[in-house]
Amino acid sequence: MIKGRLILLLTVSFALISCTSEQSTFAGLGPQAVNIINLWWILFAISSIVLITVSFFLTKASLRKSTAPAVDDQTLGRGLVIGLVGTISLLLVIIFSTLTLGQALSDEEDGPVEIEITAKMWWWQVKYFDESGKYLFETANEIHVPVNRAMKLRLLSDNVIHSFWVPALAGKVDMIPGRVNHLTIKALKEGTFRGQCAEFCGVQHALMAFHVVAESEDKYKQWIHAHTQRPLAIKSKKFKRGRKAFFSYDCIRCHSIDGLKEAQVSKFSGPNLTHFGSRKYFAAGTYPNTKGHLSGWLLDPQGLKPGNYMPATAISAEDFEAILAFLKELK
Amino acid sequence: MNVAGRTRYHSDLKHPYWWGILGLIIIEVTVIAIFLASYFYLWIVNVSTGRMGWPAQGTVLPPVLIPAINTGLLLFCGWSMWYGGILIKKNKSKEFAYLALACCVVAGLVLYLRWIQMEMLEFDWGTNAYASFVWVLTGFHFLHVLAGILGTLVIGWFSYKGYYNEQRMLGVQIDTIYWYYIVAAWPPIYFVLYWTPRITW
Amino acid sequence: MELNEKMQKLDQAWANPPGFIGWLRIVNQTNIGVRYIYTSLIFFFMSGVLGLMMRVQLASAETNVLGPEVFNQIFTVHGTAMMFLFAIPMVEGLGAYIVPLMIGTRDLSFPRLSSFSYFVFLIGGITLFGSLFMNVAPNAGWFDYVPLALKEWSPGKNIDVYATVITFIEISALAAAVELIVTILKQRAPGMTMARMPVFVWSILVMAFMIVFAMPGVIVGSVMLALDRIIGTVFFEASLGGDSLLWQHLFWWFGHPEVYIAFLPAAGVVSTIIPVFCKRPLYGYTAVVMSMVATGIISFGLWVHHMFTTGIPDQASAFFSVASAMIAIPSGIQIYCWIATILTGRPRFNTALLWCMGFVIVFVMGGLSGIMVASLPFDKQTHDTYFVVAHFHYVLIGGVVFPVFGGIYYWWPKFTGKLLNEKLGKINFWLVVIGFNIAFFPMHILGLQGMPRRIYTYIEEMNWGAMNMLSSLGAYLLGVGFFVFIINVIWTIKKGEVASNNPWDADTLEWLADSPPKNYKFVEIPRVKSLNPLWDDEMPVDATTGMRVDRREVLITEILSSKVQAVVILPTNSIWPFVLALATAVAFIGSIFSPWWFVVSIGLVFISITGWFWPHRPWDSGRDV
Repeated sequence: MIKGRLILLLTVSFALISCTSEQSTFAGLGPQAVNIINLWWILFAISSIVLITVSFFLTKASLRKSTAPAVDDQTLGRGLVIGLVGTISLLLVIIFSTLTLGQALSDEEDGPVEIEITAKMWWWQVKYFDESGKYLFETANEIHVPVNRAMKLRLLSDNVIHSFWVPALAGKVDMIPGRVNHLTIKALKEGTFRGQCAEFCGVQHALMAFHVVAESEDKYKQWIHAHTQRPLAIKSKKFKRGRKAFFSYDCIRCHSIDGLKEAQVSKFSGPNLTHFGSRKYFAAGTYPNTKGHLSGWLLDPQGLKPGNYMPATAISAEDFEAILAFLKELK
Repeated sequence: MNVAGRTRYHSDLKHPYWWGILGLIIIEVTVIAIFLASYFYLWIVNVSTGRMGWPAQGTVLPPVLIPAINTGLLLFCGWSMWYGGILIKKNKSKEFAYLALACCVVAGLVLYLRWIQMEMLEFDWGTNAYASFVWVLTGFHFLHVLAGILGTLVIGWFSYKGYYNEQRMLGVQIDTIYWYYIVAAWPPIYFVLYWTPRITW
Repeated sequence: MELNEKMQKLDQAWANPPGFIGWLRIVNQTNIGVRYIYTSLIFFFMSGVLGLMMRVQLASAETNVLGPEVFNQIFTVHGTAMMFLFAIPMVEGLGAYIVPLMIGTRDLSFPRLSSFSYFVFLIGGITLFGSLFMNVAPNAGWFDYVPLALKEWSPGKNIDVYATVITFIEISALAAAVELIVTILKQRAPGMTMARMPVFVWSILVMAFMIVFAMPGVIVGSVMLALDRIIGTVFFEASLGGDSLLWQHLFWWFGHPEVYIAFLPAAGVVSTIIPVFCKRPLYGYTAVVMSMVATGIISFGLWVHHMFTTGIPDQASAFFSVASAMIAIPSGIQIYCWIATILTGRPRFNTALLWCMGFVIVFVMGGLSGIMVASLPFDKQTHDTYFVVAHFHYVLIGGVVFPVFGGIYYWWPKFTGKLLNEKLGKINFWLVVIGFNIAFFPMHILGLQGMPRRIYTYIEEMNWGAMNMLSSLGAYLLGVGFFVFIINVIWTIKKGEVASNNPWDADTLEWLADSPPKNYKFVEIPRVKSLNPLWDDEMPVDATTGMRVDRREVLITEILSSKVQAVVILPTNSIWPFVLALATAVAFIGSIFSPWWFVVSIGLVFISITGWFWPHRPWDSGRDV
């Protein structure tokens, strides 16, 4: 009876695990993630064997008729030895696979750091550098990488502990104030992969996400180039009203726009918005970057993400449209 | 087995209180050990990651003379309580009371000197992590010496009133063990905090 | 003296004083042990309600039942209360109540200390839940990582409450631990050598030693945290030479042994119940005892497995990964011995035994997911996700709660003199087992699908809604199951069957005493001749006589051989433990508001301790006459 239920449980979980979600560890699109999936199936298999064995003997022990002859102590003693040997063997298999599959993780090509990510309350500051280490530009919450190239990330925090985790590609690495951690990722396919902060960091930990966009080398180079340029919207007359509103409603206090003005640096600062229009998501990877979602956000940031550092601001209707248009053009 | 004739006065390993106080001391020793381990942890982390020196650059190290004197004075306290135990065993409870008082006076002097020493420190407890350790561990030891004085005054008073004798002396023994602990706890703290930075400085 | 006259005099000498003030003055272990058990059960249920509230909020995407500020307090208090106000006090309470009965002594070694540590625990628990009702409960998780917990990032009083509550529990647990060790080593009945000590007593002994060496880690950490917050030391400030990871090392040095501190006594309960309901002595007593000791020691070498993702070099982490897997071996040995006992015994499936069998399956599942997360690369994906939440609920509910409830069903007749209803007990058990699995199994899947821990909500697009809803439904079923327990208790009070001294025909000494036991427990201290004294052909005779009946005395025996060594007089009822608990509370609750209360408290503590030890006048001569 216990056995029956167990087998059902295991089959169901087998099936359910295969259903992936936005952030599944089973996507397996980076070498570390792939290794870990293989490791998982080994662990799962061994665990199932152990669980079925224990349940079998427990069921057998419970269903025994009271008058049946008991197993003698010598058999029990031999059973203990067998059990012990079996357990240790399985543990050794686990340890061996841990060490070998873990080994593969550090075999990645190690290049210079090209992407520095600093965790903020509750968003991700991203800085790009070229191969020689020269600073290129800053963006937020969205990281682009070329497909099939190992990219080394430098992970920092200047406030509390956060954790950088994009399950499709690799395991997580914490971002700890005063320490510098690194993670090398390599996307094996093109696509957009979601990641999320995985260390409790305060009131808005739950909605602190980001995206990694893996694209062809050409598209990647285009993206880098575009980000080193200033968007036309910061000078164009067409968006003057939006620009003015950006200043008059004091958005500029927390959000920098390169070429326009740099925000005051404080622990309450928000993401750099220079190329906001080209991002797929906003509010730390939480909402798609569409007019509807953005409107909802500007109208009531505290309602959507209570406790985050963006205050509610009353904006007039015309200014509202102008700001939206302006932000959309910051490509 | 009939135990009616056995004594009910025990002042040594037979009495649970002796073991109880030993347990308390083991806990406190573990606390100190972990504090000192944390000290070395921060030292290693700071130096190995190149974050900063240890102690941080510009920290004026605390003086070693006064603590050295204090160490000697504390040894007197430990001795006096040990000898006091011998006196009680000979049923000289008033003499023990005077010796306990002497111990308290000397310990009071230790506290006074320590107060002066802490005023002389050229850093605040918030100046850097090394400073935090010096203040906190020195301060905790200060509090323990103070507690020792208060307890010994009470024990001394009871002895003066004739409560302790060669059979009933558990309170004296426990107080003595506590003084041994206070005395023994100081040298490692002193050595680690005040001397080791000088060795590699 | 006639037996009846002896019993009457003993009753008087050990009597509980009447009234409310009398209740505060009780120091007898029978009462205090039971207080611990009832109080920790209440905190368990309160904390469980918090869990149900979380499951309401998480049942579907983007709900608005609990906002993040409240949710973060709730998950923190849930974890803190379960670990500090249920797990530790419950096992220490079971120890405090059962151990003296099992080893044949009349009380714990330091009765007033027992009372003190109970009141400190109670005050700590009231402080924690009180802060929740006042919306200033701790909100940075039960392990409260810095820098989030420092003043800069948590300026309110929430974390000060946390540091205070932790300190209360530290004091309470350490006092109880020392007392249990001394009682077990020095007060066992004559003839009860270490090799004849019941497994449960061994488990409490190991647990108590673990507390003594593990708790100092969190003491140092919480002192550093409190000082950083209150007076501005900089132990955790990276820019000034401190380090955030220092907190993690200190906390987990304690935190990992802590779960075995909770588990080992529970395993001891299982080792007690299974032989009784299978009518045969435990198979492999020596192996089981050695496994518990080994588990206790090895558990101190695992703590870094909570820190695998912090950037520690993989070579260093590998050691902890291997050790974390290896600790499965002693647990496996115990499981083997339990199954072997059932296999070769004649099982009768009372509720108590059912809890033990449920424990085996659920704990093994939890242990297996533990081996998985012990594996370093796998942990890098599953750390801080719902996979870990599933793992620890399987090992803690399966490994601690199930045996505790088994123990409650088993010893209820001893505590109260009545037997809990078996039918309701079985309903309680099955609802809990089924509800538990439905609630927590989906969490393994959610973790693998990328759901991190400690999130108050999640967006629709994540597709986590279905598993979360299933989990929430299971949680409500689990809640109903525990509610049935409460119904069972109420029913038993009204209509429960009265219990004899030994309704289960068990083998250990507690079943020699009355149900419920008299405060003095045994008129004469029995002599023990085997591991299963009540199953010997003769009841324990050849008792030790000559102890006074007009005052409280206990027999002291040698540590290893348990030969009679001495007789010691224990104190009677006293108000000072309660007063000292209040004086201590002034220090720690006061320090939430200002450090000067600490100084005030030193004076109050001095007065209380002096009052505690003040000898009663008139003094006797202080010598044997």
